[in-house]
Amino acid sequence: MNEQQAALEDAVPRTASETIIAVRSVTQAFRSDKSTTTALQNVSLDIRSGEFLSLVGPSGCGKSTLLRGLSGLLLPQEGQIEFRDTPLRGPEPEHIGLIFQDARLFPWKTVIDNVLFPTVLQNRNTAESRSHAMELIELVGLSGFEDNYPHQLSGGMKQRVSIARGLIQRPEVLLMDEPFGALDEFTREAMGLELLRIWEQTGVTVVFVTHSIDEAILLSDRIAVMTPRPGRLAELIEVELDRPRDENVVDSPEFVRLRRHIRDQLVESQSGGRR
Amino acid sequence: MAFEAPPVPRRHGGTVTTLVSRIGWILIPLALWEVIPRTGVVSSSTLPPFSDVTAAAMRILGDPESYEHISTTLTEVLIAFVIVVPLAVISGYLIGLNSYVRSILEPIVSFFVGVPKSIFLPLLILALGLGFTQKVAFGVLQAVFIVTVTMIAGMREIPDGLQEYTRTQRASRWQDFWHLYRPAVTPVVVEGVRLGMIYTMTGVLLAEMYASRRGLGQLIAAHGTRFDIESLLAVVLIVAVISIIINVALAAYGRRVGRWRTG
Repeated sequence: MNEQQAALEDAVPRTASETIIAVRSVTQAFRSDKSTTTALQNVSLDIRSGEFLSLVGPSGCGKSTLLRGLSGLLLPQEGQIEFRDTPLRGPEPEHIGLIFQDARLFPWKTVIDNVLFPTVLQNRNTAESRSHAMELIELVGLSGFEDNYPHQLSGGMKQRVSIARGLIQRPEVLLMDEPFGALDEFTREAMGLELLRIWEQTGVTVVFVTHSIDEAILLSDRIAVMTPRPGRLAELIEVELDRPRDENVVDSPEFVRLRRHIRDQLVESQSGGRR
Repeated sequence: MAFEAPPVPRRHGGTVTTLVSRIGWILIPLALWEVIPRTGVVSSSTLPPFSDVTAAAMRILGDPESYEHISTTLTEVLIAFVIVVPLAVISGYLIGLNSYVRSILEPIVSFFVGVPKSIFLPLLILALGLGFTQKVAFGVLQAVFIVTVTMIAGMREIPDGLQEYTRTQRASRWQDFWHLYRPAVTPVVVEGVRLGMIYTMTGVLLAEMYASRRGLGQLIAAHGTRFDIESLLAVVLIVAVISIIINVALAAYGRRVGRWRTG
């Protein structure tokens, strides 16, 4: 019996198809005095272990709401979100990290102390975590800035610190809410490519919210296109561009085709929604 | 690796030139204080020269009887201060924690800041007599509202989004207080405490001048009624030096804990 099971498991190839987070028929509405806004309507989605998944859509399509749901900050009103087959009941900082658009660093802590903060909360600030933090600071390209305060860093550098902090607990999943949205165009593209390198080196699953179609195509394995009012999942697109990718991929025929396809998809759903 | 240029760190504090000119701005009035009575423009019984006043201050400091006055005042100030700081910091924290509570109570506390506390002095004497307790109570009354208001303002210093961040880290209430609120408000609180110290001293000295048997305030008032301007100014000098030292120390500490705000 055991041998049989082992044989069966061996037969299954360990690809990136294993589901790490499952979103099951999630509906989320926000009520104000006058009206109810359906931020998410019956959204289902399997996030595969190790993949880079982007959530794309215009403002109000519920992508940030979905990300908050995945982080455990927001519990779904209907349906449920499962992390490794267990429903999420709240934030799981050791398994799921969340990166915000603004870096949200502690201004009174140095770079290294910001990166170490999650381990301090868990009472696990050891010599080992310190050397891990130094590795992460090197990974995000900030070696030499360990003892600087956030106000001495540029926007892009702050966001690098935030990413290093997000990785300190070795989470399986990193959720990113428009992490480069506040950066200028050039820094944004450079940070995206750096993120790909970090993602490849750590093997972390990334769920990336953006309203930039180009950014989504450049980075992702799959793109979940979302449409507003009510927030729905319109389409899941596999991006079949070779890796490693660089900025030149933007001009490839496949990239251009995908960009047009996603744009059409969004335009169509918007005009459809107005009927 | 390409970076955007990090912001150039701002330079603070003084160069040698600013230090020299600052000393000049202190020395010039003192020199005038010395010269004017000696030239006879102002009679030296009305304004004794600085050197005479300094000598008198030294004499007072050398007199063992003076220590009773100094220690009385400093003890009153210290006790009032030890009551004010936790009282104001805790109430400011509780008021500032919740925006609804803050919207109701903050205007009320600010209203009390605007009321001159000296009008309550006769009332305090009737209630508490002329002794130690009344001085401390008046010191507390002078300072507690202004420090509370500062603390409430400090609670707004919590950088945006950090509360949500600590929530993603499952921080407990205590961890939030220790890692988020405490460091964020400390520079503001130290500034409030520095203000509080000034107000507490004012309160204690005022109460002593008004009616007291001991203390530096009483000494000033006593010299005044005897028209002993030299001794009066000598005590004023002593009080000024003591408060400047306390003030400078607190300000230096405030700059140290607030380094992260400016660099």
